[in-house]
Amino acid sequence: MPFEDSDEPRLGLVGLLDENFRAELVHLVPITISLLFGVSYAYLLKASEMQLFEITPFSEESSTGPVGNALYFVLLVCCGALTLFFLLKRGNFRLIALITGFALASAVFLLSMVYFYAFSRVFIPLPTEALVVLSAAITVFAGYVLWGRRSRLGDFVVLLLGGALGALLGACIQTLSTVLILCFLAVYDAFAVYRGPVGKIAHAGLEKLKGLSFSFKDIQMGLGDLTFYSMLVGHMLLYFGFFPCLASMMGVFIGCFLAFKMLEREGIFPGLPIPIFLGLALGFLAAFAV
Amino acid sequence: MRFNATMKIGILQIGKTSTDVLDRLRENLKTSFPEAQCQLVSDVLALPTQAFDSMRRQYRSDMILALVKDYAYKTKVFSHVLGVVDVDIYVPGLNFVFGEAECPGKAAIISLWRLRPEFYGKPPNFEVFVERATKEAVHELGHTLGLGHCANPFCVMYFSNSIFETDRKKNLFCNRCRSKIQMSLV
Repeated sequence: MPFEDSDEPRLGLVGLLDENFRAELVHLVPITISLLFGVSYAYLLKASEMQLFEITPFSEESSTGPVGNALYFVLLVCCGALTLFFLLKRGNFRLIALITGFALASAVFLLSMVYFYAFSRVFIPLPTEALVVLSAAITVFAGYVLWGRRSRLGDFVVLLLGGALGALLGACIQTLSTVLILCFLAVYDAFAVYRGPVGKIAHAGLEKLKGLSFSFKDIQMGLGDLTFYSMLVGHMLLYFGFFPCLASMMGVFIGCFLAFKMLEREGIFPGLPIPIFLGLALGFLAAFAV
Repeated sequence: MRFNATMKIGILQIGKTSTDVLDRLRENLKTSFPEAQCQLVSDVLALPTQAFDSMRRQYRSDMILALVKDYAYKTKVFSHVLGVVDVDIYVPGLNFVFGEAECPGKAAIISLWRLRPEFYGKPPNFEVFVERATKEAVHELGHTLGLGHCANPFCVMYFSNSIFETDRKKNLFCNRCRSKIQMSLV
């Protein structure tokens, strides 16, 4: 099917499915679920006291390292969005399915391994073979749910995945890099939704990219938004404690609600800038206050 | 055991550390390296202030190791010097480490910070604490003898990703690691 604009409005990677949309608190439910998952995963990592490798390419110790890390993440996200955009434009849905399927399956398997490992260190010791089998089973189940008929369960898996991925990113990236990555991505998101590939992908129909978005009532959001919200609150919990985490969650909620209000007028709105900047501001205010 | 014959291990206190645990560590190292001489170093080094990262509230392990290395090569009394610190340590790229060593070389350090059961919300247990410290000390000294990590989860050279792995492994080398040390010292 060739690339064409859909009539459905969207928010963000966040978009609307109804032009008479009115923002309500109930629209925050999926974000709340994803963030609670994210915080729970972060807590599990903390409780396991396991050694975590930093996943950023540049050292936090060097003065330019955090900026390099932020640019690296923006480049990754930008390349991913451009690839999807061009494939959508060419109507190459089979290749899109192959790429996103491989990426999601790898992510689910690796995240399951990490969290089952952490779980086994905190609760019940499990042999490595059991971790592999359990993770493979979770991956197959997630694939079945995501690639089968779109359902509430599929949306739920996306919320879970966003929380899990965000919490691990928040744990494996140092503070300055985390802050800069989130800020750079928020700025990039604002550009990409209005002028870049993200807005065009959203107009083409996020639902065509299985596993990369979810819909709830009249709202459609991308997996990336959920991931970076969880990255923020997960990092706050692991590096600054409970109250800064709670404050950053409040910031994300308020920011999301404001973004939803903007949707009433715009039909499509970047999901990262307001929640991320409010989340960072409230989180660090609480951290300094505590 | 031939490979221990030339070993003279010095246990070096860096910063504030309980001497009780150092005494027990010295005794236990004699079990793991029966023919090696092992003694507490009378000098006490101060923790290098530049190694402290105030944001992480941790010390750079490689900077402390450099201090131990410097001491080991200057004094020339010991074939191996094991620095012991009671602060949380890290290397860039990891959120923490239990210890670090030259591989091969003369210097190693271990941190006691994450070895106490209290750190994991458990009641204090001095025996468990000493046992963990011994395993980490033997592991790091194994690195100074040129050993890498071992795939046997019960060998002392197995990599500990968490305290679970430290508790699971023994404080002795597996046959393969033992023969590697012997071959390297022949």
